[in-house]
Amino acid sequence: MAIIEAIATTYLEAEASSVTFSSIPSTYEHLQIRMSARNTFNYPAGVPNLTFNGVTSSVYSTFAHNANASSPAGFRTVGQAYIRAPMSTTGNGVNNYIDRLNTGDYGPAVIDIFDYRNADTNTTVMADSATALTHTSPYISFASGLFDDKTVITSITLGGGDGNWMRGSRFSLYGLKSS
Amino acid sequence: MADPAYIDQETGVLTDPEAWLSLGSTTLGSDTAMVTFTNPDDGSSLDWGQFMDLVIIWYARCADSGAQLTYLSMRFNNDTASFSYPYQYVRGNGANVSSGESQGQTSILLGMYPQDSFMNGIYAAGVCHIFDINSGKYKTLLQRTAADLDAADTGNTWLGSVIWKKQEALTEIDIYQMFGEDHKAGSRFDLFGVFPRMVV
Repeated sequence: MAIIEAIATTYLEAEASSVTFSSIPSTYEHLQIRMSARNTFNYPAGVPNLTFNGVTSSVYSTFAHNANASSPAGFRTVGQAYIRAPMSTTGNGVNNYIDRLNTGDYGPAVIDIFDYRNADTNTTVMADSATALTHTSPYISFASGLFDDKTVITSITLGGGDGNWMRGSRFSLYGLKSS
Repeated sequence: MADPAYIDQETGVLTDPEAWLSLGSTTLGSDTAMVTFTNPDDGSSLDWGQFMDLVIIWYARCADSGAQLTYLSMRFNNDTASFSYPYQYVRGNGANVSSGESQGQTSILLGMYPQDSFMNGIYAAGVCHIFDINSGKYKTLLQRTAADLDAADTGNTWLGSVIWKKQEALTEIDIYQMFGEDHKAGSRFDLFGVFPRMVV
């Protein structure tokens, strides 16, 4: 029996405002999203929206440590309609930036969702992410998110935020078992 | 040529395998300058052409005398061209947090690891994710490094990102000390391949 199982992979052939993994079985201990994505944000780095079970009420918070080329900074938001993750996502950019992005530029992220099937606790998320690096304003971040709700997670949505996920973006969901 | 493990040998039916497959594990018995992983390119269950991502997990120390952290470097497909590997990072040393980026690199900074005058037995560790290794995208990396040296303000914890500005498939990984020093005996490097979902 596999310890790490690939649950689903979504590869976008066209722009999409969001990507959803639904009907997630409660047969794992933890979940992991691995993604390589680019967004139509009108700026070089932006933040998409992570939500669970279709819930968009003010039950999410995000703590993050972000950095650009010259300065690291902390970030916090509570009582929001989504987790701000992955915190650093490659945007298509405008003006000074668009000519510096190559068509091959996508940003990486790994999002771990812990103990997602436990109905006695809230759900905590850990997300590392970075933007593409061929323009002069890259960002990198590690973030934690809280879903202040004890519902077992059965679906995950990665909304595009201010933009759409672009063609070629890839999202994969994995389940981790204990044995 | 062996069929990949996710193809049933008797029926030929596609199945879902373990999502992470070990592609190689190297533990150095003596000081060694270079660790190399190469795609066997043989259609077997270890052929890199079937994987979506690769993950490197390393635990290493530099054999060079000295009492500083030094540079653990990596290259893909023997690419030594300037501006091939832009990177960015945020790091802390126990007292300060800093960040930076660089565009003109000729190699990947995989992490920092201790030189050999530090207390015996201290090795640094890291996890490096390499995404979409067979796609037409530039290959992006996301990496974490831990180098706790049991001394004030000399350790280093690091979150980094690198992009390899090539759209070709990744077929070779070389891991070495930036200035040609050896990795210390006992250093370990593991490579895993990550499958996508096979069966819908």
